[in-house]
Amino acid sequence: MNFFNVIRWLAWKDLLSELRSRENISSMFFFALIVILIFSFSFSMDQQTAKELMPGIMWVAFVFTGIIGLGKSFTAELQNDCLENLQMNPIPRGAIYLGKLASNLLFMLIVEVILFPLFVIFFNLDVFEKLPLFVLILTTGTLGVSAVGTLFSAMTVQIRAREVMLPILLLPLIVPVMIGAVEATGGVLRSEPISLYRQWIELLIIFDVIFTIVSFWLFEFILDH
Amino acid sequence: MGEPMIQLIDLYKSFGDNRVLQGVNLTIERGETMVIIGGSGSGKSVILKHIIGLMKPDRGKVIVVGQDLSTLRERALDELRKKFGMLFQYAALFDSLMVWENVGFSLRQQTHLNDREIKQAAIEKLSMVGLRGVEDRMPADLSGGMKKRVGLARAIAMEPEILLYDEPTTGLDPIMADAINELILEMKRRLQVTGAAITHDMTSAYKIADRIAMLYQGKIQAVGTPDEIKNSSNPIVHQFVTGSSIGPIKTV
Repeated sequence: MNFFNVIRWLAWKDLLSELRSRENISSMFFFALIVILIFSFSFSMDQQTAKELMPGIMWVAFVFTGIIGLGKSFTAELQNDCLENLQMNPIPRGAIYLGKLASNLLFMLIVEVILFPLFVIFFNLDVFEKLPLFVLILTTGTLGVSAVGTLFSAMTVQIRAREVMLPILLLPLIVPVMIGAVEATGGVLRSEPISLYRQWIELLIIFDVIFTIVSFWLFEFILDH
Repeated sequence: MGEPMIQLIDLYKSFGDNRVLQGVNLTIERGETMVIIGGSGSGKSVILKHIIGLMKPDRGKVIVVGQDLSTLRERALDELRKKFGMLFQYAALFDSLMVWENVGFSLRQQTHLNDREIKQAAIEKLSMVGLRGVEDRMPADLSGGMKKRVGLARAIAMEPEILLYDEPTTGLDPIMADAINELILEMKRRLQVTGAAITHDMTSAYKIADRIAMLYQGKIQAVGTPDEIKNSSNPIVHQFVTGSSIGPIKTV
């Protein structure tokens, strides 16, 4: 199997496994749904306030939902020795990283695609004209979280307190993603000219590129140690 | 003395303050099955990981078929790993792949066979471990014993020279454990492989081993035939093989 087939195979394997168990996506979805419900019923908001609050609430929901999924990313492989089985085969370690990144990104995006309309409904927002920009921000923000999260998930999978360690390690590092994503989402919601929030989208793209490359190179070291 | 297939020379490995291996010396000869016994957390799995090059020693050497693993680059290590097959403790089956795809996993990675040829090879290996008609089933539909057999079929798929067994009978009932032991013996007879197993199941160790090595406190305490180990006067070995809580091995 060549490099790209390994990536495709790993992502497909995780997707099939998830379709069978629905373990990850359902726990991620229900957590995020509860966050939406709590916040939407906690504040009585006019549309202006909703535009101010929604970006922060949405990204908190998405990031913490993502952490739930990322935390389980390597546990199935570890529990039944599949990780060692993969290591014993001449599979490029970087392809394992990118395959896992692809499946994590996919799971997070699936949950976000389901939840985004709920945010729009509960917070009574008009977003349809700006949908392409939302898609860009959601994708770049989620890729940033997934890129670092996949690496840290591999790093913490053998630790007993992995559920605690993953957010402790991950959250400080993805602060730029969260700030960038919240600012850019806010800018779009407030219908500001793109020049006012373009730098935040650029920050997300730069973060994605740097941390995907760094994580790709570090993954081999993490897996072998 | 036979030709050495695997040599562990003065092997040291620590994880933080935990010194797991403290000068392990062991030679496994071509064609023999060496069983390494020892308590939980004694470092048996760490030895297996060193043998297949998944871990690097802090000090010492691992020599496999005359090649020092520490001098090999990743590509050469991948090439050397083709000589290995491994039966994992939890079978290591990918739950999203069918049984034949699991068995043919290494064939897909390391050969240019097409799907039809891989499936045919997988069916042949499955029949060698006594499984017929399961190739299109999913791992979730199999019992623990069947999963181990599938794991063994996958381990022999590339016709390896060396078979490694990680706790081959753990989690199985005594009858199924004996069936797996019989299969391990049969694979040795039919494929003429060198074997290395780690276990704390003494019934299994006595049955499949040509020689047994006892690992305790990071060192090999004794090496001998099953009879020699069974009748050893070494108090550590004696306590372990008799399963006594009284003796030099501390339980807390």
